[in-house]
Amino acid sequence: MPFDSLLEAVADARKTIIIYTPTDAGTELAERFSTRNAFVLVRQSPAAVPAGFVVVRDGDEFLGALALEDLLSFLAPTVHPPWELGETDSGYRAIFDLLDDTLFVSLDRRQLLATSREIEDRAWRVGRGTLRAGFQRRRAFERQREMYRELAATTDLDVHVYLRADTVDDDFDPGPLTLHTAPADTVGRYWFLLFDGGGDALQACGLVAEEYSPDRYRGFWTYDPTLVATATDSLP
Amino acid sequence: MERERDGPDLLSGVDSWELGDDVAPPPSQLFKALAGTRRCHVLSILLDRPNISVDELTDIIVGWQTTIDGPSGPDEWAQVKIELVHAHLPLLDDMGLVAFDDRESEVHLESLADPVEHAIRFAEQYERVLDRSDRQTE
Repeated sequence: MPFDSLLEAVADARKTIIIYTPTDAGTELAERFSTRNAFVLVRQSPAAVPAGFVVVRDGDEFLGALALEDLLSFLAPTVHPPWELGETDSGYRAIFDLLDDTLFVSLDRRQLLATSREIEDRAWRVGRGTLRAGFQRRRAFERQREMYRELAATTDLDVHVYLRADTVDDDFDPGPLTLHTAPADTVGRYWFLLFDGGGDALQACGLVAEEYSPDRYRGFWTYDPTLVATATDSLP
Repeated sequence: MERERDGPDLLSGVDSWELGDDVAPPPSQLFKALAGTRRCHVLSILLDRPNISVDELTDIIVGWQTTIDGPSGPDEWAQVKIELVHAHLPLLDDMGLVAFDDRESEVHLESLADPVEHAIRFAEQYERVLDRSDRQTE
């Protein structure tokens, strides 16, 4: 399934996010979650509740709740450098778990970088299997190059890197990485990272995001091994 | 020595309070209702949302807790709902403060007498003051 169909499928299987705020400030926040208004509900919280909070539901099923303040700092994260892998805050991880398979329509690079760290961190801990990373721009890859080489060199991970064909020249040395090239309209538009779990389906995870305007992405992350496999199948 | 009497007078207007046909349980029952933090929260929420499903009431109580303790998941939610359905709501129903029908999964706040509503709001404000002073001394 191509990435654009995959994004539509995730949008259809949506969760309900209910934002309770003491004021009407939730409206602005609601726009960050989905293309469809029904996806996010904003409600006035009872006067007695001193701060805003967010409830995530899947139909009748309660999935989790968190303080609105925590969600806001999650959406504007402090990105840990790769050398601090494993230092990830447990509160951040809980929110990350809660919001998987959720289509966000207004992600920026900072958020995607933080999400990518989560996936790289997991691949690094498992230490085997295949990690596939797509870079929209050559310079984005250059910034991560050493970290990815380190990942491939110090573990049994098979690391595949996807770059735009027009940005790779003949003397490009991928080192321990496996290089794939693709046309600009596929890799150039999408930020993706897919880890197959290294034989353990519970460890599979992935991120697929489309840049629809400069530094504005819509996308999702997932722990669903089927969704990760479907996304992987669409790669060239 | 005579005590200072120029502090805020919480009971101003007390002479104009009327019970009418509204619910006004005896003091021992009212204070028992307010004796648990969770029941206080239920009553405070109901003052704003007099008709609410048990599921949404549980959402709000769990959500309120996350603003203090951090994210919570389905296990905590299930625990809170069990306490509401099997302990707190039946007790408040027995006192006549709420109408709770387990089969309909709905809670309705009865029409409360002014002093009862004041007592609930006082309990809510008092908790907030204590929370604030806890944070200052941490």
